[in-house]
Amino acid sequence: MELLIWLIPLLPFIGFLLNVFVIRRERTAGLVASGMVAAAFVVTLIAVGVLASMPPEERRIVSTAWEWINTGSFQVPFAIMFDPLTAVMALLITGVGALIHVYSIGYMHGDPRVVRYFAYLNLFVTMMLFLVMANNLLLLFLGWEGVGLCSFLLIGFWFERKTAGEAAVKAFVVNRIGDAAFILAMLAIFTYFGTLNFYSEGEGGALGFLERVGDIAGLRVGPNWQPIFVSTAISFLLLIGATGKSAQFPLFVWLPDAMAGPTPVSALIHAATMVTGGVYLMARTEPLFVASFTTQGWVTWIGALTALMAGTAAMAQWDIKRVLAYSTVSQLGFMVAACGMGAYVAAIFHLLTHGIFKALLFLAAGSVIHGTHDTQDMRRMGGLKDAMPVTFRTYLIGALALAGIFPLAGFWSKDEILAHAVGHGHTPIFIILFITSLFTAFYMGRQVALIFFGTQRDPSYHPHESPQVMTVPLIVLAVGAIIGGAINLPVLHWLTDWLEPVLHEQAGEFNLWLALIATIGAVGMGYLGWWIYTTNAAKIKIGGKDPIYRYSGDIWEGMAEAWYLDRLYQRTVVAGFERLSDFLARVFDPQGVDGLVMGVGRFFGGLANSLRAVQTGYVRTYALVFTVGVLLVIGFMLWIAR
Amino acid sequence: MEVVVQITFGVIAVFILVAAAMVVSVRNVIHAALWLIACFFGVGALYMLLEAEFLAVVQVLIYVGAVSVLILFAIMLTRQITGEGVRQLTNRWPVVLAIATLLFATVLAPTLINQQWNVPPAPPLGTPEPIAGPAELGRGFVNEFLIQFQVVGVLLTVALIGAIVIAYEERARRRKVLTLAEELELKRLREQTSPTVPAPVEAEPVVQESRSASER
Amino acid sequence: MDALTIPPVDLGLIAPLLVVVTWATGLLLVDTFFIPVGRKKLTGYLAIAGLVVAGLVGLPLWGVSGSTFGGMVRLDPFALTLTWVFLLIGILSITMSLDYLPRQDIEQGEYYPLIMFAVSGMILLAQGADLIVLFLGIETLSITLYILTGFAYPRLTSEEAAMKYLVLGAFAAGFFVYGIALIFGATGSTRLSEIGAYAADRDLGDTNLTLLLGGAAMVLIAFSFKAALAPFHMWIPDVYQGSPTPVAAFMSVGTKGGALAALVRLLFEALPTLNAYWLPVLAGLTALTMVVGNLGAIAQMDVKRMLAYSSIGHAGYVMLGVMVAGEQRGPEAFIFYILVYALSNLGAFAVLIALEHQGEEAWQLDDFAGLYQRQPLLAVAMAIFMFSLAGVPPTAGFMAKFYALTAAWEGGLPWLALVGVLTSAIAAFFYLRVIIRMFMTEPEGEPAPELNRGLTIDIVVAAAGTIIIGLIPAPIFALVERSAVALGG
Repeated sequence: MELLIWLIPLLPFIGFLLNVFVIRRERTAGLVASGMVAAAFVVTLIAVGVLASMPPEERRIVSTAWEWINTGSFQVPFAIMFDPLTAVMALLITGVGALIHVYSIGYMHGDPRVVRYFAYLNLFVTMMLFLVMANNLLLLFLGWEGVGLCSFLLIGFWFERKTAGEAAVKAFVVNRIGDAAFILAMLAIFTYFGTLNFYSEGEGGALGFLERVGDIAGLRVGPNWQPIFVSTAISFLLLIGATGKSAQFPLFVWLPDAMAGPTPVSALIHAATMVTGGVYLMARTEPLFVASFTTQGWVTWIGALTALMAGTAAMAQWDIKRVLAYSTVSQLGFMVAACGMGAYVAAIFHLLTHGIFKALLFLAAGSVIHGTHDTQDMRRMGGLKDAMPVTFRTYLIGALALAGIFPLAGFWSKDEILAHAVGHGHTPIFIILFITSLFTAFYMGRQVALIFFGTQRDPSYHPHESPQVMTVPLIVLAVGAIIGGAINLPVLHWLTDWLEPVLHEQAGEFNLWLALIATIGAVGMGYLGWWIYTTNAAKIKIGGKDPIYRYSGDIWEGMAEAWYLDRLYQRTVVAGFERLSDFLARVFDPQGVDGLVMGVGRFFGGLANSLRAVQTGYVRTYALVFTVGVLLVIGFMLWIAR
Repeated sequence: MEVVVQITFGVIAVFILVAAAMVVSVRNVIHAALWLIACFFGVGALYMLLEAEFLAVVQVLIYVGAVSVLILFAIMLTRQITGEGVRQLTNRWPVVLAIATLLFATVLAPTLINQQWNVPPAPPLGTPEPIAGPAELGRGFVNEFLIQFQVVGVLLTVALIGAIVIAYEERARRRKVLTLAEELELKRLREQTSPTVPAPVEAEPVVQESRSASER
Repeated sequence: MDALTIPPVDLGLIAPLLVVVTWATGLLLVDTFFIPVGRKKLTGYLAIAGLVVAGLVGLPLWGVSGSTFGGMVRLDPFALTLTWVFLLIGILSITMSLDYLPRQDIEQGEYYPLIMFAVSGMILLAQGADLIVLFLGIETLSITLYILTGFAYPRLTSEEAAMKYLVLGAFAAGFFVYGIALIFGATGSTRLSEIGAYAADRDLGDTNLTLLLGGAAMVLIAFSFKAALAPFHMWIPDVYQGSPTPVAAFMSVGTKGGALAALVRLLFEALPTLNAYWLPVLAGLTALTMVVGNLGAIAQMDVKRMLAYSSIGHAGYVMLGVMVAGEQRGPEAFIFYILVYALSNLGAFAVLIALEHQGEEAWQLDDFAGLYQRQPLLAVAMAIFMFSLAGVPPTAGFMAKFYALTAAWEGGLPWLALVGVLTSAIAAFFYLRVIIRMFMTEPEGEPAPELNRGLTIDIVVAAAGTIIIGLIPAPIFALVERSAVALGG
């Protein structure tokens, strides 16, 4: 059994190694990569079966490969585990991941670097599996960083497009901010618990920190005038880490830009893997979060605010993929808010269903882009439903699921979150989330209308349906999007029971009135979106304004720019940073080479070289700085320190 | 006796101060260097007065013998040597003054705040003065400071190799440095004739093949 | 006149040092008289052999603790492990020089013995228990490096670098000597243990510490200069850029390792009771170093210069371990970091060398364009080194950084750990730029770099080491743990 769970991450890793070192042909690369992930899915299924046969309290398999760090008090094993929470995550990753791999065979056909593409993709899946299967924070961090690295490589995969490289760097750097907080959280956890293990390793082993959260109850840290609870400090640092990875406010700016990668990559990053990492982390370290009332408040509000901001932003996008990107951010906000309210099962439930139907939407969008010869602007589409029947039908199913229409998957999971908000008295949060869900229905109606209805506004291309290798995964996912909600139906609540050993949660009450109102609202708003953009289809011009622009004006622009958050960073953080670095280069390093952070060219290099005769003047400068340092050090030690 | 010492000290001290003042005030750099030598001699005399004969000899050997010669060489190899009419003080001399004063104050501070020097107790009569004569120093080198002595040997070997590597070998590959006479000659020529006289150029690099083993 | 008495000397305790020095001296003669021009590689092989022999000689000394030469030098596991690390640095540096020197047309036999002398200086720094010995160790290392920096002297930049290094180095050496004099004036000894005893015996509130503190400050300044702590770091970028690339590689890890090893001893054998005075100073310098090094690197388009700035930043991370060396984890983190940094950084410099062609500098970021297409092995290796320097798991660099941060956090400097984490987040940016050029741009007619044996071995060893130590660091941790036990007692 231990061998079995090691197979899950190792199979894609073998695929990665084969693709890097052995395979040179496009066809074999795609087959091997897909086959490995599919095999991993099968293995996961078997492992789940084994897990289900065990008594609920003992459902955790831990396997240590070797002692990773082993010095005195500092011990971290290189160990993975398999428990109910990991199981559902692994199922999602390998299942949806395998479909995306298959789809990629068609989508990436003919690309000159396709072998490298599949190598990256396999590595991505491997790292994500390590993330969810790690039994300690350090290994989780390995997966965490690995996923960030692979996303960087994949977003920048089409580096010929100028935006791709920049988007890749942006994603990595924003993620690094979250990672910094993660490292600090690890340091703090290690200091207070002396271990980074989540749970004890088998019988009689030392307890993991999640089992000993009580140890830090009431402990405070920080300056005397404002001490804070240790539990708050740690969970808040973890929250910052999660906001980076799961694209929450204020760090969600990288995700819409990350659309520069190939569309299957977007599906993988947005639906099945990377962005779910933050939510998974919060669910996994749930005891720490629950221990801090303060952090939970922050989590809830960050989630709700993100949901609303991104939901409104999604309404005003023209790029087919950016709509979905903001929609992802918005739905992640739902999950995070659910975590904050303590509804971890609902969050994971929504994560799973969202993973399925968002993958479906992205892949279908990829099919649209593929069939329209790389058109992404929805103003240049229209009337594609006849040319691309399969894509249209599957897209519609995905859109309905996302809008939360009965009885599709999205309805059940979203309803559970809303019901929890009402049932536990989070009224403001409920209102925000409910409005957001109405917006969700609206922009999906708008998108379906713009892409598939009306007439084709740009006659320069001939749309065609995608090959079967792409449509079959779409159909499979569409089936999933229809019946996915079944895993946690209100009466049966299988998922709640399955996750009970990890999350210790009771099933929530099903709120019939709420479900009714939500469905009616979603249907109404979806229809409204569809109606506005089909009746006004004639007014939509390529490069023109939105029909609603007449009524909303500047607000529409704010939405289109995601409330200027990105621009704010550009003007403040990035500009300040550039100026500082420029200043350092100019003042402290007069021979320094370049003031432009992202600049290219050898101009400055050549200039600097011509300046580099033997110039003692610079030595004088150096000696002066040196002397200042000397005076400071001596002055401090002789006068200030005593 | 005591008075004689005091008077001698006064004479030497005045001499040192005058010499030092001259070093920083004369316009001709070479003269400044010569005054510096005089200053070093004065310090040597001061050591003599303190009955530190060895130190006095070393002072003359190292400072008068080596350091000053080095400085004179440096001056001669520098262009615009004579320095006639070149201002000695930079425009920002107050800054320099401030820094110098501060550093001097740092040195003087311990004495002024009445630091108790950790002077070893006076030895019983008849034993040689500690660290006074060369004999004691020699003994120290093979006894207490044996490892230091050895390492200094290695250090000097390294320095010597370095000097050889940089200065001697493949001299031809280095840029040609004009001697003082050559440079003056060149200057004179340039002033007399038209400005077409070529400026000093770098020597052609000698190709690898010309380095025969016999050269070594 | 009484007869000369030479104190009992146990040469066994300095065996590795002795081997390196005598081998180097012998090699000088062998090189001059027996090895013909044009076959100077042989000298390099012999030098490597010497370093290997020195490492083997050290094997039986494991676990031995003792001092000799009247307490002037000390051997303990801490010194021995560092000796091995230094020997490894020397071996890797020589390996990457073997082809570099003839390609740059600066091959001379003296190069290899000089590297060995520099290694001996580093070993002396790890073993010294006396201020004068430490000074001589630093000078042996420095003077050798002045020469090596200027070794490519037909190139103006190299001469310039040597000149700058010499002038500023002499400046720093002056501080060291003056500091020793002041400390001697205050305590009557240059022996680290006796200085420590002097400070421990006295009630610090009553004693006038001006002399001792002033001396300590000056010595700390000299060490800060050698270890490239801001604001004594200004020489680094110019000197690294100008000096021959293998020398820059050697310098970046060698001086840091040697100087900081000595600093650990100085702080925790001579000055532990003055902790309240030096800790804030060093902590401030460390924070400044991490900020300046990492921010400065962002603006660089020249990879060699970028690595120079990054080495300033890494000096800060090494310092995290040094400052808390009183705790068990401090020296562990220090040794581990030096080892890992040596592997990653020497590897990165080796890749730079592979890109350089005859007399041509290929250090611009653009020279890395599409390296993956041109030479996949080189690109993958460079990516590993960059990730390791940036501290991304699963490379060894992450382990080292995490360990150093843990040490600082536990040692009572959490704010410094915070600065470290933030600056290393910034650092990802400029290391990443190299990777972008290699993997995400098409080559623009740059030739495929030629890889020869020495360089290949170097790069493969360094890359493999970086990955293996990242994945299975336990054996190294065990070694490091045992080396650190003896210290601080």
